[in-house]
Amino acid sequence: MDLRRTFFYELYHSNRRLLLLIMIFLGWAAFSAWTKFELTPVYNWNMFAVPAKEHSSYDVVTVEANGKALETGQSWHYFSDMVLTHTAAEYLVLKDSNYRIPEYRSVKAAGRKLGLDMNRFEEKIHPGSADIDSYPDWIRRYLAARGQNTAGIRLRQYSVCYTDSGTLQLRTTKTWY
Amino acid sequence: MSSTNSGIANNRILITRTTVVLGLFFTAWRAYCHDLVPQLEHPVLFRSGYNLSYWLTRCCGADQWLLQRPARAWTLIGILCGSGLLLLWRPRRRLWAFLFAISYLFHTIIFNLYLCQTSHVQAGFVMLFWSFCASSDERFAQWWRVMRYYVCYIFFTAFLWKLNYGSLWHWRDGELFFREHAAPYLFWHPHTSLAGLYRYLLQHPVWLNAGEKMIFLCQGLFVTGFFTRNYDRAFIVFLLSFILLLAVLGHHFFIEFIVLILPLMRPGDWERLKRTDIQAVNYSTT
Repeated sequence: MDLRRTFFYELYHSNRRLLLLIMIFLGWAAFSAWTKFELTPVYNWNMFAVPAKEHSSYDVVTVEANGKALETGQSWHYFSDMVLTHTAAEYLVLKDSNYRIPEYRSVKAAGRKLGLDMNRFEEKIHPGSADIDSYPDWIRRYLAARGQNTAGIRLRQYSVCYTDSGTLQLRTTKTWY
Repeated sequence: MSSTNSGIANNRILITRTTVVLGLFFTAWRAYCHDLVPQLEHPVLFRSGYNLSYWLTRCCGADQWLLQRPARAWTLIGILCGSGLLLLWRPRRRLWAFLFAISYLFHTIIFNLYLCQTSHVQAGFVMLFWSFCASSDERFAQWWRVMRYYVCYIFFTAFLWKLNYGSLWHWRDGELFFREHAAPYLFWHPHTSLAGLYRYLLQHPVWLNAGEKMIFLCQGLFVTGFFTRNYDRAFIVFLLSFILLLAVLGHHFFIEFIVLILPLMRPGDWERLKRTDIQAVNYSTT
């Protein structure tokens, strides 16, 4: 392989600043892959990389107004649905875990060794319980701004399971607010 | 200058305008769907995860400062759209390119922080816009070639992660992934023809499992992109199929990934596009 024909060789002789930026990017990408950290826009592309697990039931979380689901579940409406879908799922995770998610343990341990105030750090990077509890009010505010009916807003979690023919069977329904 | 570089450099204006038009189009789409930061009505939930950009944003309070007054958040959108329009008008002006790239990146970070999900779908725009800050056409061509490698990096590292975590070796992964993501659609729309297709696939999961492994292997083939441009057209076809399949079967609408096609286009493709454009202008003026 003739190294003089490579792109890196060309950059070394004509644009070292760009070469340096590429090296920094690759360094960060390697660091984030090793530590499992992300630094936008140096993403870890590990979506769907962990083997999916078999569940006996699946959750369908939805925001409803007067019994009608506001998320359509259709891919083409992804942009309209995504804020409701992702924030509602996060709200359930936070409520389920009693306002705390078991994260940042190793980071906090490392920070404490360095003498940093990790409680203050955690307060900054994690929503407080008052914020989490005000989520239903925010949903109403957000939907009102979208010009949607905010009467009878409910957050529901349906637990469903698959039958042999591929249809869904409803097991339980839980109303969060 | 190499022939590839000169081919890209000669088409800098067309490449810049095409990318920026796409960026502005999807920003307008997001605005229509109330997905811009000032439209979020001061959100209360956020998820920092293990993303250092989110941590930095939270620790310095930039997000709170921006969300405190809607006028500030709208100013960010004003800078984003204004610099985008100015870049369309003057594609070589580095100031407009810098303002456009930085405001888009900043908006993406804050939006994803409050979305409670890192949406990788914007990763194309977030990186590509920086190419337009190049000081000369020749340097732009080098930047644009780096962006082509970036596309190969995205898909090849996605393959490596699957190799590392093991979904590549787990035969039923496609079926189990599908069961999870199809549930909301099947629950709300059980009588559509798409739901019928889903039921067929659930009864014949070999299609899902084999199809998933095919996609993973195609992602792995992007490694050849680091050594040759010969398969770029095949990569474009894969990318379009990937977006379509993920939308129909995976319920992830990665339509903004369409911008990743642009660095895979050959200089000759841009030349043809330019000629078509000139012919269209001549036709309309005569």
